[in-house]
Amino acid sequence: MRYELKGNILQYCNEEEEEEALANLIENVIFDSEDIYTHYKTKEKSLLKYHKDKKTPLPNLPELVIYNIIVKIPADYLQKYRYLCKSWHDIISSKMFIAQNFIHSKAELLILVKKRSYFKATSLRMDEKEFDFKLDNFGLARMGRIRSSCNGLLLINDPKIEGKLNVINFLTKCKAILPQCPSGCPHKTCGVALGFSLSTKEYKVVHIYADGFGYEIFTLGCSDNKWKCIPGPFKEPHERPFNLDTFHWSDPVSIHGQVLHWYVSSKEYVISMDVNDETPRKTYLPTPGKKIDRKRYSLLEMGGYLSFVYNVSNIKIDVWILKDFAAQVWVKKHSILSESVNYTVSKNPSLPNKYEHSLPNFHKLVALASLRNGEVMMFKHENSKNDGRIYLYEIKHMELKTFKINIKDESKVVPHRSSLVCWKTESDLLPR
Amino acid sequence: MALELKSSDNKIFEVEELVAVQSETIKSLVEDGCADNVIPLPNVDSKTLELVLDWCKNHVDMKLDEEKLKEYEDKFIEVDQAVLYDLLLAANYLNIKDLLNRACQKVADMLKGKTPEQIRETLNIVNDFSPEEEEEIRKENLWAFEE
Repeated sequence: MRYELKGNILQYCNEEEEEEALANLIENVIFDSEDIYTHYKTKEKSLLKYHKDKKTPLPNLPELVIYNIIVKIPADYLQKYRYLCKSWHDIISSKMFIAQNFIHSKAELLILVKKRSYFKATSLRMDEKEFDFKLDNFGLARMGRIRSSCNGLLLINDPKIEGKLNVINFLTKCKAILPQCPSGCPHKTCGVALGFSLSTKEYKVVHIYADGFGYEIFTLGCSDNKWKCIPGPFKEPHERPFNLDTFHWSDPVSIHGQVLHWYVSSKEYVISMDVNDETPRKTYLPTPGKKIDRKRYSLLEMGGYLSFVYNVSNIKIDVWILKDFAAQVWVKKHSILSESVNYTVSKNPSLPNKYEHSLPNFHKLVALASLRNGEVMMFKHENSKNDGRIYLYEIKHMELKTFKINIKDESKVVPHRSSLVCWKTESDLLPR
Repeated sequence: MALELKSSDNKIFEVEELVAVQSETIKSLVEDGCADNVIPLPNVDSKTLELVLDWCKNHVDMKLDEEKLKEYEDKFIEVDQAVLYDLLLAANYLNIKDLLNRACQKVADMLKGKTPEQIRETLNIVNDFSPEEEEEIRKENLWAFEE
């Protein structure tokens, strides 16, 4: 199945649906050589009245214009504006509106920090224009570990019950509880993600624990409330690129909930699965001439594509993107060169002096996530002495900045965009 | 080719066809061959029409320079509320997609900082929920599970 991944991917509705809804902003335009007038089904009178009666400073806008305005308001504000009046409530609750509003939703990174047996999350948002960011608290004070985000929904470990997974939208306060996996996995050292199948319009949780057991897939709202098992990516034990004693599966990189990519400690490939067809396959890594060191690369999502970030040397990092998943075509997006980088140090008194003016050793930089639709990359410093050191790199101007925030070794970063997706029962999540 | 547009207060504007057809409304008229005479626009006053035509002209001139165009758009939309609403209605009536989207975005940005009460005031919204109905909806949105 062919599909296109773009920057602001339409996850919920396909392109034709978006065009149609916007085209309907003007209905029934009638022309006459003498007069032009636009007919709105209900609002024509108030429109003409406004122009005659300029005393009222604020007009009754046509409903379709109101739609176009509120669809651009961020979801967290709209949650409160639901109660303004019935018409706003109906608009905000409609599936089409929720999908179109999500298109405008701003990306943020959820940084998870472990606090004893619970987790806390901080949200990082890049400024639109300046090379700067804002931090805010996210979610509850004591949560389980957030594993994955899709269409504003978070897949999260239950903080109290081991082996239990929940799907929660913190904004609309909806929660779905998943049944336990057939494998009995405690969800501590496994790879799981939430995806959305565009072809069937279903939310799927894809889980892998011991690949001999295979993949376990759960469709939210399914009638039998059971996980389905499909074979894992390796048929024979010797096919595995990793050492069974030391390796454990980790959460895959999710490309907008469409395609999932797992690191398997291989110097040649990663394991990928398109959520639409549920078929695991190998995606071969780009071969830049030399052999790839399997410990020196990271995978992340960048502008709608899978990115392979390779620490070539202590002064060079190559950034590749998988431009075409089906045809496995990689393009080298950028090379971060120590000599070309503009390094600015923020005036942060908590930074120890000796690190202040020197560029980090690129070997120690681990790419975590991308921001601003792939224009900015976030790295953490591997060295535990630099506990809490992160670097933001802006690709276009080759600017590197360092900050200190509360991020530790086991901290995870989950890209997220909030939405108003809600449900009363899980079957509401299935297409009608 | 030049077209003549007449505002609600009877002012005539002469514009290049290429500029005027940014409005889908006017474009359809031209395509249907109805644009030979002066085109009356009874729902747009001269002040607003002048602004709209400036937008259209700059979109033709700066079509290839994305950065310059964005700078122009950001400056253009910095107007007071009354003018913004006039632009919104004109863009809607004349069906100029990019102006309509930009104006709606500006209004959205203005609204998002406000409390629900302020929004009701700004947009003249009447709360038609009965207290019982409102209570019902609010209950649905409470935390349904313990922290």
